[in-house]
Amino acid sequence: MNFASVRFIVIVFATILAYFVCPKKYRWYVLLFSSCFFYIVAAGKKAFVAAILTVGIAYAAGIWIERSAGDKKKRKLILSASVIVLIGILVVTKLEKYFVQDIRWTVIPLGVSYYTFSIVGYLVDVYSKKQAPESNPLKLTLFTLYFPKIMQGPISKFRDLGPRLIEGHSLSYQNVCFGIQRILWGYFKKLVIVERAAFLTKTVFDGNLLDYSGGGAVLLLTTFIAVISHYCDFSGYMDIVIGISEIMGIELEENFRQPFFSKTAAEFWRRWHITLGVWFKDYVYMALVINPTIIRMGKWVRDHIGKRAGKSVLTVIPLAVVWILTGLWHGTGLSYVLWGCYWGIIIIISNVFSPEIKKLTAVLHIKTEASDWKLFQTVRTFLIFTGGLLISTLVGYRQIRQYLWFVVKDFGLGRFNEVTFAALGMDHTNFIILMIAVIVLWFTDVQQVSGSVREKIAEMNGIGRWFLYAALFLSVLVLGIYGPGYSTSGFAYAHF
Amino acid sequence: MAVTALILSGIHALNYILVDDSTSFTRLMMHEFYNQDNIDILCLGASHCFRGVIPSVVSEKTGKKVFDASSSLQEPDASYALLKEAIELYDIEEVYMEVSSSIACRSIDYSKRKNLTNVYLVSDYMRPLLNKLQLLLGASASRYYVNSFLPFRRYWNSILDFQYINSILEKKSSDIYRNYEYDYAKNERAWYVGDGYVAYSKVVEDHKFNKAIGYKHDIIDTEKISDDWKNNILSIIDYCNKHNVKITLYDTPISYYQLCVHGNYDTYINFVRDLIKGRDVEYVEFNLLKDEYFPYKQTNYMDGHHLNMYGAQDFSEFFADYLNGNIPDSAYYESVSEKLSDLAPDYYGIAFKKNKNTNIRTIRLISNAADYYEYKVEITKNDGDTHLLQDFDTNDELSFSQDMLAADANGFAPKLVVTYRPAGSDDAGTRIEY
Repeated sequence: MNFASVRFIVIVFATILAYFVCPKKYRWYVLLFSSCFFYIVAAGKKAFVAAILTVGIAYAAGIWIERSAGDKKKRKLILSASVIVLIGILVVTKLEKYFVQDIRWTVIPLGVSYYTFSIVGYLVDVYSKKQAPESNPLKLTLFTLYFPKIMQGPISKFRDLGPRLIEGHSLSYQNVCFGIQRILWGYFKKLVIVERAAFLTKTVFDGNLLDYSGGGAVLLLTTFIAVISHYCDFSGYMDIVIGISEIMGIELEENFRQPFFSKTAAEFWRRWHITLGVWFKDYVYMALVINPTIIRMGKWVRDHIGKRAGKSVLTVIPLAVVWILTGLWHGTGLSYVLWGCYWGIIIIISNVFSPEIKKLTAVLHIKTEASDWKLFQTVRTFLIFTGGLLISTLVGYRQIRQYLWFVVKDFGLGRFNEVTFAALGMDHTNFIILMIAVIVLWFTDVQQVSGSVREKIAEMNGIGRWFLYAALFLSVLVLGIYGPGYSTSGFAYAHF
Repeated sequence: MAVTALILSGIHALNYILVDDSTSFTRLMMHEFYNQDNIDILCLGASHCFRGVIPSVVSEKTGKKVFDASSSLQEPDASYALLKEAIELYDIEEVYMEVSSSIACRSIDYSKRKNLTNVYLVSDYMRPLLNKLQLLLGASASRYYVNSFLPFRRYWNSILDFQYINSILEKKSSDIYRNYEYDYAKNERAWYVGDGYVAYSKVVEDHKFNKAIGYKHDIIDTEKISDDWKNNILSIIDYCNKHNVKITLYDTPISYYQLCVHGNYDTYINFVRDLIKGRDVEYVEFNLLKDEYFPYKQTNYMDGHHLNMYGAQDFSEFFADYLNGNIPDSAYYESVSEKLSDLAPDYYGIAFKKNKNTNIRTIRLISNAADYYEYKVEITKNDGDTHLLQDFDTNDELSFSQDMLAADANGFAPKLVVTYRPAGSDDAGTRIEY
């Protein structure tokens, strides 16, 4: 369901209204009803049944694991079997496009990648006794299908989000203000930046790059716009879902923390899609680090090759597995595997060769605390991310070769003009608005680094604050790309 | 509250600087509509109404205050909204609802509407109350709501076009605009007169009708009339009945040329009669009038469908007589086919259509009497060179290459010349140039 649609806005408004009208004790039922209704409207009844089936499996497995408290083998068997079934459903869904028509999986549950990870996390936590199994299947259903986050996460943990969903929250002026602020900021990113950038990025990247003739300069700028658009698309969605929840007093995990200010690739992934990174760290990386087989391998390497190599095995193997899986989570094609390998290799190299890198910076007399070095690191991380995005976007060797040919051989600075952009779908007015919006985005993120922007706004004088709110609302209303004549696309990460 | 006020002010300001309604007749009509002492007789509908009924003429002869709450291509949903507004504001005695076939036959289900200009013409000037809300919610699919409720969104692309914005500000700051007057300098052939009436001075000379026909709206297919059109007409009737307001469905007389182009206008009359069967409503089809009661003059028309200012004057005087009860039932034919066959043979003009794929133009020679006339059709160039397309013959439909009417290097376009005479006669015939 499109977040810019009247239908979505009506569902959200009705839910919030009903939430606060209901007695506190029953407020979570409102969320449950809305979430089920939303799911059926957005994905259909079959998908809803499939999602409920997943909840049923998790519910039964959780209870069973607890009842087998004294039998470690049985607990492990139940966990393994249920995780295999749940991940199996996810894999089948992901591989659906490769099946022949007759045996295609006809139901692709909405948000399957997100809720499967959430529910697997829940089972692992029950198994490792960090979490008691939920005895009320309706509460587990609400956790799984909670409608603002169902399409793109965040990937929450039941022990964190579950109680917040069940607890009836009071209406708070600050929550309402902050929530609306956050929602508007999300719509600004999505409708003013992403949908406008799509005029250009869709023409260039969704079309055949072999037919492109705009020159390398325009192509590079389009690439950078695509990167910013990608960030705004995903983080804009998060702003909207976090804002909706915030109005009702429900705190959701942050999924982004100004990722383009990261200085290293590893830091970037601690700021980008944070809950996915945390999930992989908690449930894959840590499980592999303490895996006896890997520990044995590390010992063998330490004994035969050296201490540092042995230690590296404990890092390299889990990271390699995590990054290949992260690639496959994003998509099943070769480009996603390459994308996972690309990030994995960069992070592994920077991790394993960290001492050498430190020595090199010392030898080169680089002042690592100097602002120019920090800027260099930030730009480098941005370019690394851009490279990753190109790997997952450009299909096949010929396209990659064509891209590089434009950038190196046909830079075409003379074609970096209004006419070229207009031919690619971006007229002068939209280009100017896009650039201004990106500057506003950058400025806001810079402000956020030095402290919460929302708190800074809250400290402003009333009239200034009101003007800011009104300006934000009107800018979305006026400059947003939506309504007749435009087909507002879904959020990019909703496909995962 | 302060933020809401700021946002509403912002929206108002954006509407002001982006929406160009400086040439809108409907803006003037709606302003007058809301500023009447009372309205006795309300005429609703589209262009047949606001070009055909001169309220001041009718008011003078009937002693009742008449008002045309009609606008271009106005569909029954907008008429229904205006009716509700009028009944809330005034003591309406009678409502005349235009049921023009051209509006009915182009209607589509409102959920499939893509162009809502005809709705916005009215809704933009309605009071921000329930009737406006109901109109806009029902007028389209929800994705169009943003344009419906926020007029400036239709023009947002001009947000950085400062030349455009300056020109709007200039127009809107003029006394003419602010005082809801009509700027006569802007349109020499059409101007807003008052009480909803718009005068058109264009005249179609005898036998000189020459218009493109699409066959889409010209041959009436009542099966295609949308359910929303029908339901809104019935709602209007029911609403009037509920409020004890007399309602009459009507259509102003269209040209005989247009009646002949339609060819099956009786189908439409029967459709309307069937639609309202069992309801307390009259249906007066002024196209069935006999010539002795409303003499036909081709020069009373600005095009096939619409009366010009002279025709509107004649019709309004007749309409006042009708309202005063001076027109007997015997003034009407039973059907249009009966009427056309009862008329003396006449030739009205040509209708044409172009086939873009084949570049062929097909013309029809329009007369009320098939096979009565024979036609000679020629194309004459500026230098006098003539190409004969058809010598005198009763055939009334022929095709030729569109290129034959292309302008020469000096920009002169050849003329299509039709000469008609009664079949079998030896006279030179009447020569008409198009």
